[in-house]
Amino acid sequence: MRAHPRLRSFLSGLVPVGWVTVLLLFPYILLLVQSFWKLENGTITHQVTLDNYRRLFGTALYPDTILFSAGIALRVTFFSLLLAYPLAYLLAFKVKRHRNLMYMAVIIPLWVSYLVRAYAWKIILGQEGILNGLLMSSGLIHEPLTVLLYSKWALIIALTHIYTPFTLMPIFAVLESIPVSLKEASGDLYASRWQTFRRVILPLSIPGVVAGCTFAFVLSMGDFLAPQLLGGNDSALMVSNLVWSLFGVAYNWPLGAAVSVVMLCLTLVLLWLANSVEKRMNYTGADGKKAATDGRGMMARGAGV
Amino acid sequence: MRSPPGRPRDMITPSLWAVGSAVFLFIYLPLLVVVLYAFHDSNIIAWPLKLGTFHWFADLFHDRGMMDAAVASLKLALLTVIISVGIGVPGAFVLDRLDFPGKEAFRRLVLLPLILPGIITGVALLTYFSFLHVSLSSGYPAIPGWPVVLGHSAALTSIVVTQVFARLQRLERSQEEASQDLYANEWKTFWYVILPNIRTAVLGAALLVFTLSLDEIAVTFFLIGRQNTLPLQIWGLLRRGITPEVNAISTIIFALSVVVIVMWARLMREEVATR
Amino acid sequence: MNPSILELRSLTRRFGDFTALDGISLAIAPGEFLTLLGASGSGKTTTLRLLAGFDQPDSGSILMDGVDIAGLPSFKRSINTVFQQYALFPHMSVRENVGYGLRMRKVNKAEIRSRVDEALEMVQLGQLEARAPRQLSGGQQQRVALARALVNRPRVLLLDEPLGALDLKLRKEMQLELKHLQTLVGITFIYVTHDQEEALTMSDRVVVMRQGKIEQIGTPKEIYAQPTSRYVADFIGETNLLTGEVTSLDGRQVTVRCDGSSIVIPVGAMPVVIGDRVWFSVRPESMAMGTGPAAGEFNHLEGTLTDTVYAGAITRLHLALTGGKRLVVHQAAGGPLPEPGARVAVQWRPSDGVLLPDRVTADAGLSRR
Repeated sequence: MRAHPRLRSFLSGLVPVGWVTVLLLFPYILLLVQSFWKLENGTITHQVTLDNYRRLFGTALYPDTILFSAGIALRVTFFSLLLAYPLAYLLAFKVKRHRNLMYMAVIIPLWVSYLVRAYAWKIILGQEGILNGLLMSSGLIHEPLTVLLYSKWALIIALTHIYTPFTLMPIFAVLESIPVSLKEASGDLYASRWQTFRRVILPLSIPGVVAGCTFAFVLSMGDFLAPQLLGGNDSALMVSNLVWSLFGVAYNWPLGAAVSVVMLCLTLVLLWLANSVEKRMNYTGADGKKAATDGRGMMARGAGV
Repeated sequence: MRSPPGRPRDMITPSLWAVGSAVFLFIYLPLLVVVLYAFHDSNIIAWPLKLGTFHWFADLFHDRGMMDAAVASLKLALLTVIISVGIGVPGAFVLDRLDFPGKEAFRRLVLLPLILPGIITGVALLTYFSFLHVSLSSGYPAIPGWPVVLGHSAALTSIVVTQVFARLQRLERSQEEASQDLYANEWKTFWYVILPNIRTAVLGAALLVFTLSLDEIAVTFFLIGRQNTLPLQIWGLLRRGITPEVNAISTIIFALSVVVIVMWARLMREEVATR
Repeated sequence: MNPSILELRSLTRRFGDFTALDGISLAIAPGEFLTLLGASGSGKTTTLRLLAGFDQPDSGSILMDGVDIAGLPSFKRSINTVFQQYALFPHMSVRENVGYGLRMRKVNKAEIRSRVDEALEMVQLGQLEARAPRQLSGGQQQRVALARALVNRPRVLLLDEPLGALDLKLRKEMQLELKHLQTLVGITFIYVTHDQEEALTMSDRVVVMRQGKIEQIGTPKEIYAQPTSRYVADFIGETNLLTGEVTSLDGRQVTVRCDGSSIVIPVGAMPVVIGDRVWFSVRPESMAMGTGPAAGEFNHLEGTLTDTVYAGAITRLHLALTGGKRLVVHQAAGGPLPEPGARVAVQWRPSDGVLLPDRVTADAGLSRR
């Protein structure tokens, strides 16, 4: 008499599980498989080879690009954290009225087109852009600065702008889940406000920081539009741009697949590390964990990048 | 017995406010710039700003390519919402209710497109469809193409799954038991008790999927057939150099985003009220 | 005996290695107020969930009017439940909540209206019908839950710790009200609680459960005054559990050597022989401070007073017997009390002692009290 509901639930599970298998699992596996295929005279042959990986690790371009991208992503992550943490702290502990409204205001830009946000910096930093205009009219410079746009710093600024709200979300969620009584208890036990922050708040907020930073890092490293728009010659060469051109102009899909697989592995290792840190340092209980996953849902914005 | 000799002078709070406001400015100024330059009365986007024209908006509506792209994007987004809700809601139930070998793998796999850089999902799907010999423009012109529709849906189903799953986790099982206790069978229980409870989560997720699909580039880029979507059309304009037309369309997108956000915020308020 | 409305036959339910319910058999009479009492994990809630149809037994049957309903889904049983946290539907008004079951059974609108009115009237919530559940106080939510179940006129009503979330004063009020309501509607109530006082106050019969089995079934009075096991004696109310060796016995009484005194106890259900070590229980309120070895009709023990604890109507006296065993005696308020450290004697009528049939195991001498 219990087989019947079991059968029904099996059937109801079939559609989503099948969907994920056919449209996500198979494509990712095929990508992996393709990275072992051979490209001969511009056609892909289903012949297993390690050539792609040999070329990937044997040519300076690829490892260098990965390191360069990681360097950019690291700086973006650092600046995003630097901007997001104080604001998250302010929202979580200092803002009493209209807190939700202010929080909404922070994450509104996540809903605004990625392209618009990246493009805005082109107006600001361009040769005839606002920054140059302001600097010239104030008499600080006489010729427009050309280094502003098309440099890796333009890229870093724009990416920081894009990923700061991402970083903020999980940090805010974890900070908000810290009971005020902990702050009070710390004060009661003779801790100064700095000590309370250093010994109580900061350690408890680590899971949020880790979640936020992981996403900022992974997504900014995988970004390939902002580099083309703002990055200039050298920084148009983020690792995703390589993948993009290997799949596009160069038509070397197997090598592109190999680069993608390396990116994928790096990402998964990083996420796994972050996850174990989050798990180990999560003292605020289910709340913090759920908050981080909630943030992840909203982080969705990054899926478009 | 520590009684402070009066309120200590608080230097931290004001500086926090200062930093916080600066971050707010950093987040919003660029968006403001885009909007302002949509009304800029010159071909060249340069300082100083000359406000006072709507002709970039008018141009937009005469731009055939842009209009077609907008229609294509809307179709794509609507189809994506329908499919990802259709798959994502049962998917959330699977995660919440069923136990089967490989469930953990399923959970991680669903989340993968959310976590990975979009380009990886894009090239994986491109490889896949090309391996299966599915033409990227199959289904055109009725829809922008099945591969891109399926690609968006595959990538964004995760949003519906996570949002609805989070809601289901909060839904007390005793609600359903109470309903069945009160003579409602499984279907009626779903219709009268579960659905009203997950409604806001489903609608919220649908809105999110809709905007994300409208804005998606990474997956779209590799899967699009003959018809450009709006972001790709804008991207094309941007590659040719910046034109105020882009500001105009960006401003419209921005305004629409705000409308969607307000709707979403209202939904979330209801959602919070159920906690 | 009445024909039973519900009969449980060797119900068993396992969760993995854990046996939540171990072959329960029980017959419930129509119109009865039956309470399942037990600590958490005793199987009382599992029993209730099997009756409601939220869960199916691994073996055994549930007969309702002689028909096995164990496999029926809950929506096909004329049994309704009042849930622990009420499980009111948050998206429906009070009226919609109460009318839900009738609507599901496709009762016509006019009848739904009048029956909901009636049910709301019964729990005195008529004026709150348009409110959402979260706008109600705990006690009001409780009444809605009750009305929502009773409006269906079930054969049996299951109540899962329905008063657990209320504060003490309200709980006491609701206990009385529930009891009245039950008498009024004449529906069989099966009530689950871990609160022994609640069980004694409301029930016609109490089923004490422990580790998935029934420990004792009886009226509140039987359960309290004639516990058939050490567990029940200890679990219901406060008691002194004592042990001693049987020195003599006749048809009506057993004499036990305990802490250097001879204690007389009425014979229990279990046969004993001279030389057995046995347990017996004496309630603190049956004991009184005595004057030492007195007239033969009282049992007495002597000990050192360790604490006196004032508790309003009574004062609790804590004594240590010579052997180290602790005793609690309730002393009515008023009157002089000896100082801690004083030697005091306590006495009680032989008829107030209850011989408990548990075997005395090797370590029982060092038992808990």
